[in-house]
Amino acid sequence: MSCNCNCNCNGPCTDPGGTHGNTWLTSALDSRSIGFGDAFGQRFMRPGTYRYGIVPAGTGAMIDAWPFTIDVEKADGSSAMEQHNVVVTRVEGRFEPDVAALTIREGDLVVWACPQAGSGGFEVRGDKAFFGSGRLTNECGYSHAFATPGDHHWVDAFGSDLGGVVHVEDIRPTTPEEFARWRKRVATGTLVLIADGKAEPAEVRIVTGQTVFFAIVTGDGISITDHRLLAGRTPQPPPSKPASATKRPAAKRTPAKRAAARR
Amino acid sequence: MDITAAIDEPAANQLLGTAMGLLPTQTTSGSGSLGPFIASYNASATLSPGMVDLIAPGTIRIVDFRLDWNLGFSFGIDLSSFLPDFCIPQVCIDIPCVGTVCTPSFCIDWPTISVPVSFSDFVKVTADFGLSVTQTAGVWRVEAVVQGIPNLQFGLTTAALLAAITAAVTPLLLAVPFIGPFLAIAVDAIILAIGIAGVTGLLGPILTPFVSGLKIPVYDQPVTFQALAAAGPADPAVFVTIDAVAVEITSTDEDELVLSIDIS
Repeated sequence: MSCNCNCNCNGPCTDPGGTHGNTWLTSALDSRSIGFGDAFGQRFMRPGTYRYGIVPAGTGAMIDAWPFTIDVEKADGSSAMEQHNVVVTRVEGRFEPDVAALTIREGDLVVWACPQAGSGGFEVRGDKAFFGSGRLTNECGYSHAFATPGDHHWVDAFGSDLGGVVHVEDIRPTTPEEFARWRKRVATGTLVLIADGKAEPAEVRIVTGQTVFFAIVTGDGISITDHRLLAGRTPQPPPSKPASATKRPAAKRTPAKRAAARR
Repeated sequence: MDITAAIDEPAANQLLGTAMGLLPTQTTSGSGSLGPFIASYNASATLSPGMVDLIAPGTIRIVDFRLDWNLGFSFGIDLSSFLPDFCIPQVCIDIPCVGTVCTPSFCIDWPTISVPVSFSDFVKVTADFGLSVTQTAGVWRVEAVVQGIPNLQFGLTTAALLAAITAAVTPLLLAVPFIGPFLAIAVDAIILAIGIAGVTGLLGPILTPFVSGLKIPVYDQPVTFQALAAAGPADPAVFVTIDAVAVEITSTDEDELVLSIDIS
């Protein structure tokens, strides 16, 4: 994400979910489908009114109504980024946010998450090209808690050579001390920054239950998708070495300039 | 007119061994308790002969005959009864030049899983049989009928079945998201909850009826049957009618199973 806010904007964050899942089902690693254990975040860098809808994953292109709004007010430029959490629930088959109309300041972050396990994945679809979870563009993020051990190779379902791998260690604590250590690790997240078609780091190592936050500084409408979900559709074997790891370093443009150029 | 037939213990071994081998496979199904769980089961069993000991005046003791059984059962485990509540905490990440971003916390409701188990083993049984003579639907029938309810000793079977349950549960648990760190706790807790008592509590009521109702046919004969075929108009067929059948075990020089038949 860009340097549009102070680097010390570590203000208190509210618990966007803070809620309890009803079942045990978790979602696959796929930013196109925000499910239980996932979150999608979007920063809004310019004032204005942004309309959006929340629809079942994969149906964003069919959306014909934008029932919810985010009003972005002009900030004085000195305030820290604030996070606003939107709890999504599925009511009678439809996804509904707990706040239909949200007012924020420019540079703020809005995070959508659904605490209802088994409700199916959803997609946030905005009326602007940059705004949506179906294709991650600029100043947004996708988080996923990894429920099962193994090597989770991810790719961009939209065909770029972006990719990486999350190694999830199968940890089996047996003593209270080991459990405490595991819980401590689970409480820490891992960050993957994506900019200019490159993921940094392309490989991360975590333990079962840990969360990885993929922060997309710039993206051409990408996804973070477990390569297995594309089997039979877009043949992409798991890269022996993440493709992005072999790419040339990004051009010497600051994230802020890149974001500004794209906006 | 009387007919008397007698067999000694070696012959009785052969007779009853053959008869037991001819008994069809027994099957049953239902539900029963497996410790704190309710298991639905299907079971089948076959018998193999043991050693016959004839005891006057009316007991046949069969020592160490085998009940080979096959049991398939499934039971549901509500994992939330065994595992602590667990929440993935809110995770806050500092993103350079952006600030702190926090992900939602969410709590896991552990699921109920269904565990199918298939297991085969045998148990050796020693049981006393009485002798029963009946005439039903025009047929005289002599049977050895088990007395009382034999006590089945499962011994090492219980440990083997617990191991089979562990082997069945483990891969199912591995498929439950986030359970990895709790796997050992879950398996231990489940097996502990079932325990030896749970296994014998399941096996006993299922397998005992295979033995407790056991009847081994010794002699079947129609009340009236043709002894000689007709040889001509002046030589009609000869029919024999069995008026009475008695059976006992005598002990003189040796123990014998004696069948006495009155015919006319």
